[in-house]
Amino acid sequence: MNVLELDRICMQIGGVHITRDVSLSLAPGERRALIGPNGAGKTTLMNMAAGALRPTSGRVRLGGRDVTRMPVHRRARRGLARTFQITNLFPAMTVGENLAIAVQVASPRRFDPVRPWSRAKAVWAQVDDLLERGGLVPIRDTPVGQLAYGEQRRLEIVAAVARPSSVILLDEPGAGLSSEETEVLLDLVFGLDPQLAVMFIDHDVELAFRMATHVTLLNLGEVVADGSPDDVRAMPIFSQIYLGGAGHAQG
Amino acid sequence: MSFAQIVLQLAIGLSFGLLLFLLASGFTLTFGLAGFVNLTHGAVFMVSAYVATSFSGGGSFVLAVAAAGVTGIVLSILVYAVSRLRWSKLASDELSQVLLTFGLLLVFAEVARVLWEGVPRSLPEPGFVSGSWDVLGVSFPTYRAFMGAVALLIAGALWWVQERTRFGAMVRAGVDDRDMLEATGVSAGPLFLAVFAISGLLAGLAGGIGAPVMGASMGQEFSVLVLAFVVVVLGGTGNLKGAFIASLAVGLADAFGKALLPTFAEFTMMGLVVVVLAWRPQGIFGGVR
Amino acid sequence: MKRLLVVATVVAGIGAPFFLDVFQIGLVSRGLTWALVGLSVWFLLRLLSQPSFGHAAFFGTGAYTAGLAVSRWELDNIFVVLGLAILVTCAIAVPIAVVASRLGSVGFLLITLAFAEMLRALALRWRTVGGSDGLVGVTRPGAGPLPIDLTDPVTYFYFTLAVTFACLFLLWLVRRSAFGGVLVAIRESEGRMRALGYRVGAYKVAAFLISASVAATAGVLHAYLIRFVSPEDLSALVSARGLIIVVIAGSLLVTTAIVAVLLTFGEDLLSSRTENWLALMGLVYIAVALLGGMKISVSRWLRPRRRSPEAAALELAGEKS
Repeated sequence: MNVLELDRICMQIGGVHITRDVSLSLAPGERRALIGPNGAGKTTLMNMAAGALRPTSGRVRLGGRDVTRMPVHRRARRGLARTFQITNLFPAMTVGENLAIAVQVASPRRFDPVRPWSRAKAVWAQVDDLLERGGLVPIRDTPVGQLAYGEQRRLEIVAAVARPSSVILLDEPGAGLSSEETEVLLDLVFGLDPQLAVMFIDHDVELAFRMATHVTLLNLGEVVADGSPDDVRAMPIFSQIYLGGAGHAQG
Repeated sequence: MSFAQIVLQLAIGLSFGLLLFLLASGFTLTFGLAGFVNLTHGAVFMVSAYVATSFSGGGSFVLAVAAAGVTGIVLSILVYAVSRLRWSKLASDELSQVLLTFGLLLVFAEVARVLWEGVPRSLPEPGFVSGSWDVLGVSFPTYRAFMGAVALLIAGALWWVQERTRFGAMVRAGVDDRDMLEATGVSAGPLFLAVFAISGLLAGLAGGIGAPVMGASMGQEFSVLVLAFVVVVLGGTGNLKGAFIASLAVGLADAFGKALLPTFAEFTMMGLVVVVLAWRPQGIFGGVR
Repeated sequence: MKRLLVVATVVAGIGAPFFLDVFQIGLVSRGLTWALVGLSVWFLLRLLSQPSFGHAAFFGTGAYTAGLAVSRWELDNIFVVLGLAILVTCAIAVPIAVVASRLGSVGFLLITLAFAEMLRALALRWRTVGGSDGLVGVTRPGAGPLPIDLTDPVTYFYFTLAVTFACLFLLWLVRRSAFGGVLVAIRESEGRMRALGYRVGAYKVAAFLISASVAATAGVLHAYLIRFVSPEDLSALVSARGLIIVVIAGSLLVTTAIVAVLLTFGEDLLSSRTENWLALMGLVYIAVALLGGMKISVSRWLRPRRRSPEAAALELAGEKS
């Protein structure tokens, strides 16, 4: 069964079609790159999949269940994780605390208004584990606001995978990073769980083709190509968009 | 309630709503354009109303209203001037704006208390619209109709300025996107000053025109302010159309509330707010940032 | 340095009756109730970055409950009254919280003020709770299991002091707790909290209720202190006082109490000198607003030199507003 399904999703605002009849599905273990020129509607699509935006029509299904009307936090509880294009961390808190917040979502400890947070052993043990796996141990106690950009992006990814999910949506994980850094981050995510479905947006097409198992090409709100990286690369519409012609060229 | 009474309350509510629009529109424009939360608005209304009542000794009604309008302008410009002292700091700090304008509110209220001894005052209706009509068996004060008509006229003028003049276009653009406004070369300072002055004029006129009906009394600086808030929150910021509709709604809620549940009139208002915001948190037409 | 201040405050508090006369003790007691209002505002402002201008609603509801408890319902146990006041206040706070938390910070300010003012207008008109005359001749109830006589001013002062410190301590616990951490995270990024799976709205309402309960406690203590409850207990001035105390006191809990007591003495001094003291208070508000809370903020002077990164982040979290 598909982990995530977008079924004829449309988004229309005041007569403008931002997304038009988009359908795609993610199977467990699939790594799907969502590519397309600026303004193609990639982030909008991701927001609709995550629940931050509600489509004008169409359905979103998570693990077979219709979640089109389900609010963001409930989708998250059902196994959908996401990161944001603009780093969306908690700047006043330390790296460790950022992870703790992510880790304790299902723990009743999070309601506790009396016992000191620092004593929640189970939570912090998981945090330590995450810090190790993400290579973040040295900056555990640094306030996020003081981190270098690359470290922030890495933290964001690690926090997103803090709890087991079935699907993770990465909105331009490589924004502001070099190809090598982006590759490292993506490897981190891919290496977690073979069953984890990942959909990521990236402007580096070569990187996307290298890392993904499937590619969806979006242009002007519509899906214009879909398939394995080799298939898509061979399609005429791909050359048209990326090497001249319709849309903006991206490298 | 009999049909006649319903009609009466409807008329009272609408005329009050129109008056309220004058007040609320100024508040929503200053907030929408300059991002400035101006708690003095109710106090400006009150002081202007008191000024108008000072002309009750055989003076002309028109003069009273004009004086109220001028008072409104002067006080609003004073508020703007004080905030210019630390504008860059205040611009993004709503809490400081609130403290500043609250402090000014206290000062204005105290001035009113000293000058008019804290006694409620009224202004007699001008001769040409005094008395009442008999509408469907219920007496409806003619002045209220007059008040509503004048408010509607002023509202119309305001709409015309906003939609049809260059100045209005700048205001609308600024409400939409403040940073862009500066980028297009329009200097914010004079524009803000103008909006403050206009909102003061509106508040003052409202105080003057409303004086025969509402009088001037201590406490209005809050009671009137609250109604303006409700209008802004319900109607959306910087949105004149929303403010207009919300003002009418609030006016009606106020009239029917007072008629049906005299002690608990406030519940009608609170209920209205809860219902509208539960349904659409961004207000009927737009957002309060 | 901070620890020193806390100790000094506790000592000063306990020792106060020895070098102040009865009237002044009453003033300090009053200052403590204002400190509690300040604390309740502090909680929402520092942790959630939501400035509320409506805490008078909760203070006043607590006060009215206290007044009615002794004069109408014949309750004679201050702890029972406190519990009841908190319950009633929370009941009122829930709809306000639900509505207000859907708004941005300015809408929140406006709506909380609006609700408080509406409650005041109601109190003015409602004969059952005394109307514009308020409730006069409110007597102090017994102290339940404690063998103390609350009618004695010094005893009442110590009781108020104890309750204030208890609230201070409780709020301090919450700030350090996991729940407190969640609130700060919500302040930092609501969107991300939702994406992580948190029910942000529910947490905001819970925080609001905690805050309202502290303000209600203040109302009860105040009502029994001056033995009088009036619609003025629901006025914007009460709310504004809470705000200005927080702005001046900064992010430290203990400075809030100190500033509140000083403010009480200040207001008393002004009101005894001139009829127009409200205008002078207005000038104080204007001055604080123009000079900037952060610059005046007392806790800035007390920032310790060495501290762990965690404490630094928390301090940063507290001062971020």
